[in-house]
Amino acid sequence: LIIIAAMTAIERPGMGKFYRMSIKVLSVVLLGVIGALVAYTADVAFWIDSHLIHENAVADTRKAINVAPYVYGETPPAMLGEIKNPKNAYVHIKLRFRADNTEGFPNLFQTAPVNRGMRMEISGSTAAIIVPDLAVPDKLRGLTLTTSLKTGQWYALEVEALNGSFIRVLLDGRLVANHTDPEISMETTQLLLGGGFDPSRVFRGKMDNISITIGNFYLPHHSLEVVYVALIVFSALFFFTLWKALGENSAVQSLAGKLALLTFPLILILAYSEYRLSFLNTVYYAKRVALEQQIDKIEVLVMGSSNTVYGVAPEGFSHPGGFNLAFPGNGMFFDASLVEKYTGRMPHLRKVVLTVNYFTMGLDYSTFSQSWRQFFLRQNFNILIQPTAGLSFDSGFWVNPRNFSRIALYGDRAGSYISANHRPPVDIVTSLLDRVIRGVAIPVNMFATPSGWFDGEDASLVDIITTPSGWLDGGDVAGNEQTQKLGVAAAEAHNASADVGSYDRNLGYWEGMMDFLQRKNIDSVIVLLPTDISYYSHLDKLKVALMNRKLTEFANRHHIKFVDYTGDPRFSLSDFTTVLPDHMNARGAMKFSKILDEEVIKAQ
Amino acid sequence: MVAWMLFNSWSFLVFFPIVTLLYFLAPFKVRWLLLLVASCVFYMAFIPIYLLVLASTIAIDYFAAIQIEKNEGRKRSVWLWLSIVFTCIILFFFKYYDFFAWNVNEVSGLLNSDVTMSALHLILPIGLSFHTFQSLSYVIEVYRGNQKAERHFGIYSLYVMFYPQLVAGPIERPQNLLHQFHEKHNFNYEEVTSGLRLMAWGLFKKAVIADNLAKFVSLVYDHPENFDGGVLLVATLFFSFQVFCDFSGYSDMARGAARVMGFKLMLNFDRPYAATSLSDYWRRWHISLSTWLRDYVYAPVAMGLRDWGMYGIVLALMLTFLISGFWHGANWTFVVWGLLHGCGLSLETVFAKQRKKLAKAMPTWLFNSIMLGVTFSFVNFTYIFFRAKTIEDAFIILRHIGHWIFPVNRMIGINIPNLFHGVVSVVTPDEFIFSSILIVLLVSAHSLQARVDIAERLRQSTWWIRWPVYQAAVLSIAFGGVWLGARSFIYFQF
Repeated sequence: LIIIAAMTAIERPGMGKFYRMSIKVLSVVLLGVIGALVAYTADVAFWIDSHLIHENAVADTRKAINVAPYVYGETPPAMLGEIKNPKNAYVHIKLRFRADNTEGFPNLFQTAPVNRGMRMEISGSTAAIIVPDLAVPDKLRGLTLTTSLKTGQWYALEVEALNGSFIRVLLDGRLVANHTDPEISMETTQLLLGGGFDPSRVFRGKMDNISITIGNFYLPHHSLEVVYVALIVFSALFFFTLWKALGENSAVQSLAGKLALLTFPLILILAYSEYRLSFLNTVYYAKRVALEQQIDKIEVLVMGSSNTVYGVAPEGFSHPGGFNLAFPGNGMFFDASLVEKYTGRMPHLRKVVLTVNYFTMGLDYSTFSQSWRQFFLRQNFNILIQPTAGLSFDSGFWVNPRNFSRIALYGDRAGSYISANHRPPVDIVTSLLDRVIRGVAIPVNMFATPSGWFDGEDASLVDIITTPSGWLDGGDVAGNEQTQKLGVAAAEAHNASADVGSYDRNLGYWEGMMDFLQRKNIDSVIVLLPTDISYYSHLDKLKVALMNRKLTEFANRHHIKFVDYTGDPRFSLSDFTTVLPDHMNARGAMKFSKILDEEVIKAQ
Repeated sequence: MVAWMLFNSWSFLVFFPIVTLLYFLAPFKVRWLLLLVASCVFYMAFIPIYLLVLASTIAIDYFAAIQIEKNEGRKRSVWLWLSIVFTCIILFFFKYYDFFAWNVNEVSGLLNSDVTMSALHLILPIGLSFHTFQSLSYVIEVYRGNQKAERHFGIYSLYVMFYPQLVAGPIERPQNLLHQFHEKHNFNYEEVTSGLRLMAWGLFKKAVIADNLAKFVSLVYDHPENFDGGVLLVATLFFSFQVFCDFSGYSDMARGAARVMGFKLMLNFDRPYAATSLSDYWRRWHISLSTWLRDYVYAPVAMGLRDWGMYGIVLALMLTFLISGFWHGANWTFVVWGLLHGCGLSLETVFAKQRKKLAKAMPTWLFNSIMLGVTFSFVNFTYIFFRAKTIEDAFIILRHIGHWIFPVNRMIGINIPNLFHGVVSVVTPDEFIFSSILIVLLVSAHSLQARVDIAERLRQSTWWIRWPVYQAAVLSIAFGGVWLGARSFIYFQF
């Protein structure tokens, strides 16, 4: 307003060239500022947090709670406290239970008394989740988990719920409920395990292997709203200066004004849609939140792709301070960019674990762009795009709306996402497992190949919710015969996409990072993660040998350690997820994280 | 590089304002160069190396035209034919070689001969048939003395390459377009807004109508054997509106884009489905091609065969539409489509007197309505061959439609509830109803346009009528259009 007032005040008929030129320059500058804000919206919000507010306005308050095994009659129901702010309240309960008596509607757990919270109730042979839901007439939704519950039998249960978003339940590793609804409205005032809202509903049975995470996933980012307000202000200023700049030619000015008026409702709708979509959950935003919270405590940083997201659990390290900054399908260029950008802000960082695998090492990411990765890394981490090999200027990037617009990125799902606060998490293993259970064929080319199911245009990979330390729990279900078949298929797909010409290029991205780390006196190690024999025995041996040689040479050149766990005999099929035998399940991940801690992190 | 710069793409949304802005900012002397560079960028967004194919056509015809103008007598004809043959060889090589090889192999197989030709599987340069015809038009007009040979190579290149009409016409005549590149076009508010309105209308036809109809048409025509005659009939009807909106939408956007910069391109469509005869239809449909064929194929052939009387006219018509069929694509389906139109026009010519008698014997409105229905039905019938992937598919469609309308046990067997059930098994009821509403909207707009100039009437109306209409148009294009996996323009393949 001040600028507009000043410009109006100094404007006189016959103002010189300087004034007109200044206005033109100002409008160009404003256009640049608007472009930058649009391109880096989330990152600017984080910058405001750290530089202007000097505190993390957005915080992930989730914490893991250790709960002792429960035995009816011997231990009382466990009181887990409350989640003070129900908005974005997150509950993740993993346990094994055995019901000995199902009469009287016993509750396994509740988040608030009576019908105000979410609870799991058993009645006869039926088990169900009951949760307040404003979308149904009686404001209470029931999700049946099973109708054939047997007393005296052990069941593995995993319940994950995010208020205003979704409830997902796995029973014995099988997805039995996956309900998405922005109207889910559970209170979280009294979290109780083993009991319900009155003594008669106490759970009569046993529970063990209890693992619980509760808290706020993260709260709405007010700084993000500040950025949007700034965008509106700059846009108004831009149009004002443009209007003034076009004053020399009244016909052009009139046209510009009318076009602006004509497109205003459309721009308003699109801008609002972009605004709404920017609040959707992505693993990139969530990890940036967690990173900002823990940045001055991180001692060990783990980088890599989806194998690492599943396979390295900092929770399994002997000391706190581990953080998993891996992302699905992340290439080595992005690892290097993230390390160079953020390790300088980690005062206690002493080691960077650089995990790599056959797929990412052999992939030419310049032809495997996956718009969503480029988009979210730029938005949330200020990581510039990966240069396209052989091109100094990639015009294709600049005319692809998916690189700039969430509406284009989410495609025809954008409409339904706009009304939701979060999308349900769709992690690779669960969704594939669901397909297997439903008897839906999994195409051989579904693995992360340029033409496969996970190809660039599917942004569902970024829906996953990790633990606050960045690890994705891959479930407890062990691999089986089907897994081995998929292992062969995955290996063949990865052999097809592995380009030995990419080895040097991808390692080249790490050169600058190694210099940076050595200057900072931060130790690093290159690690190949364990994979099942069904996968690694079918990889192209020549390509694998060349990859190992290149990695060894690189490690020697930089005086760092290279550890290859690919065929480690301590890992068997039971340590891998049922559908991706190069990705570890929860048991495998904990086992590997302990080994990594002992043999690599502590040993050095 | 950009995979494709469609008029309904994000890349064009970036490209067009930048080029237009630079065009008006640039000094007049360099504007041709700017437009030429922009046209090259536009063309190279497809397959960059194919620019050389286009350049060779341009160079040959440019040089040939100058030689034609310089020389006299037989030499002129030699240069003309050299130019025609060379230009057509390029067209044949890219467009018809594989088709030719396939037919040779088929015939060879039938004759148990060992002669085989391998297919080259070349990707067809976009708009090859369009700029080939435009280039030929120039050389022929110079030969006929109707146009002076252009000495400025850059301007001539721009005449062939002018990006709004480079890939799908209108196929301009040099007398209409060439001189415009020598003229200075200042920013003209009326022309710019009129051009933008035309572009918006074209985009509405393409993105909203054509691409929504295409969802149904593609699913049915990709596997016609799976559908009964009713569904195939609806798909054919939808296709007639799809192809019109697709192609005329492109033409409108091309004309609008050119008009924004001050260039006037010829009208390519004039409510073709309001035609009351086939000859009327061809005066309204793809006007730039039909007049090209009329002037450069039909007229010379008919003149040459004038001694043959009616037979000469029929022969000229059949030859013209055989070429028209081949021009559309290297597939027997297009040839049959062309020949059917040739037959239809021939019949019209033969029975012209009877038609006049009939017109006199009936009230005008009744005669026109019947003729409109007959013409539209015939055009729809020919579309079966135009759209079908193979001749076999076309006959499957005709058989299914025949069985549906005339089942063996009844004379007429149209069953509307079953038809709706069949249609909504392909797309959702909402999609089908939306598509039907769009067709009704288009037909209503055309009926209204026949009486009043809608654009002009709208321009003269008060702001509170005008602005809501414009706003509704913008929002319906944005939210009613098919943007994800947007389809290419049908005529780009020609």
